[in-house]
Amino acid sequence: MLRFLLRSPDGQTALTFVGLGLAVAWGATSYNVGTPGRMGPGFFPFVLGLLLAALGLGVFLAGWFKREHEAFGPTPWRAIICITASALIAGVFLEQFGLAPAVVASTFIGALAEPRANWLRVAVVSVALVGFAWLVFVAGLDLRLPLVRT
Amino acid sequence: MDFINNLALGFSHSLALHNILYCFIGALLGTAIGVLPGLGPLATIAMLLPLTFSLDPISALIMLAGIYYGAQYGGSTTAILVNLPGENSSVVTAIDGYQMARQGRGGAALATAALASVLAGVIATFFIAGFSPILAKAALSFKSPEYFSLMIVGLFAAVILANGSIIKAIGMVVIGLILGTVGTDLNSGANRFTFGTLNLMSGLEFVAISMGLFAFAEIMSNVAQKASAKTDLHKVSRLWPSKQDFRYGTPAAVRGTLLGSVLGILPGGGAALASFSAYSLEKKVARDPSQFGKGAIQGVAGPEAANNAAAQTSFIPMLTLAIPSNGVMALMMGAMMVHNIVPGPMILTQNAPMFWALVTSMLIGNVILVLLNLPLVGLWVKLISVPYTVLYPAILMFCLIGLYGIENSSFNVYVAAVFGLVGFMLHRLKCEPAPLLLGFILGPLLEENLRRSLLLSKGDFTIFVDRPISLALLLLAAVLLLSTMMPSFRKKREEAFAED
Repeated sequence: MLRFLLRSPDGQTALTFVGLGLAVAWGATSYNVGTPGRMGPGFFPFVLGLLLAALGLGVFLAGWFKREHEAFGPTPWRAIICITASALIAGVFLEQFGLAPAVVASTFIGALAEPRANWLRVAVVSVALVGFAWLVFVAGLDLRLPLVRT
Repeated sequence: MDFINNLALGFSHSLALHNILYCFIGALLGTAIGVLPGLGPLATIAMLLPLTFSLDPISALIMLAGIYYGAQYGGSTTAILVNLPGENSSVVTAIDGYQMARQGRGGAALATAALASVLAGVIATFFIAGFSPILAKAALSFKSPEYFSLMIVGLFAAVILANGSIIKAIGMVVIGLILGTVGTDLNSGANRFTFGTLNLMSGLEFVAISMGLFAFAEIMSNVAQKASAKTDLHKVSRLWPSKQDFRYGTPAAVRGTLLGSVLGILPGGGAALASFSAYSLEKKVARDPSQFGKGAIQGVAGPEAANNAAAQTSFIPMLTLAIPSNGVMALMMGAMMVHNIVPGPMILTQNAPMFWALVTSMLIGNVILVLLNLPLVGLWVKLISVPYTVLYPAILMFCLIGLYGIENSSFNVYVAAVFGLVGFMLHRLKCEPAPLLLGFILGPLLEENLRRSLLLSKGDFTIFVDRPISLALLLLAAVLLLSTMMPSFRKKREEAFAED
């Protein structure tokens, strides 16, 4: 059973639903829950949290009675980490250093997601993207974002 | 007479030069992004949304609608040429369309898809114009209990048509509803789940959620495989379909249009359901069903007409009842709310010019689409063959700067990064993310109507079954849910999604 819970999509979904549902319901009790006739701000999330937890149990039971359990496919950890890092870096650099540094830095970090990146091409693409982004967003859409913050 | 007056009012806006221009830009961009392999309409629209934020509401909606059917059409192009359907609704087009491409009839398949789509688009537009006022009038008598029940029907219907496990899909809706509660509660002023940050007080930005869930997550799962893969592209030669193609294709397109128009209106209906149904209908009525799967023109014309018709008529429940029937409509509804337009039966009285401008612009947009696509097929083919290693940084960057631009702050960039991770996790857990978006958009409305209903009845839940319309709607929801437990329905549903 532990194997089912931890090692299959259905098992992990059940865990996620129950965990998240209970957390939301518990969090909702810190606001005024109220009664159905006079719903407080906590009422709706409280009910939804319990509902989600119940659905989690449903997923568990439905998966448990299925004979064959699906297995996970391979997880592209590298892509997940690099794309997320690329987005986070872009966020920081956009606010700190401006458009050009943000685009170049996040393109290079994003390119780490590829198994064998051609760095010359990445450099060309990143410079082209700076121009493209400037044309569309700054010139075209009037976004107030300096090329380089000084 | 009203009908003609309304259309005239609409055309007076949609034929304005700047609106024709936005319609054109929308259709062009939508097609250009939509043809990129692996990007479905949801990711395409999410990515292009920020472009419309600075426009006035009418132009923004016209452009968004253009992006939508452009994306739809772009997806079919990719399905036909490289057998990579970006979304459910072009899965069936790929079956026969790709076979035609392999036989060197790719041009004819593309032209058939375009012509069938424009026929469907034009007829469906009249459907919207005729049907919306009736529906809106009926819905004017609705009070909060009816709205609550109507939303329940809409959510259940959408869930049943989602891919994969139904319990998981309901769970996704609930998670979406929960995410919708984040921010300041309008009734009490309480800050729910804001964790003390000012940024979350106005709630989560739906563009950030949809970009994360759809665009980022798609890049994550594609980059590892596609960076090295080469797409197998077939040459496009003669564009115009043969006489025989017309003879078999035209009736199929008409049947597809009618079927699609009706299925699009149903809550939970939409492009995917319509194209699957049209394909099986064509297979049934064909004199020689053995041709299907080997490049039958009906297998392209019917589903393409159906999915375009349904894509358009699914605007009806969204605009007049505020019930988005699928993920794309949820996005459109969210975009309307960004412009402070609240869909619902009042839209026809309060926002009449906008409503009719949108409807008539669909007519114009569909014509633009054909004029655009037939000569530009060569360009789309080039776009499809751009390597993924150049595409994904461009898509990513476009999203990131668009997110920054929403509020001139990086907060939404971080939110999208988190939802990218969530999207990938959902993909791994085999949970379909589209119902989540539906729940997120409908959440605040559902809560408000539930609150008002129960305030009215002093906490008595029987108010939902005492009122006849509300009762009928809830029964419909129950029937929908029960039907999923019938073995025959189950089998059909599995068959429909077996392709992907």
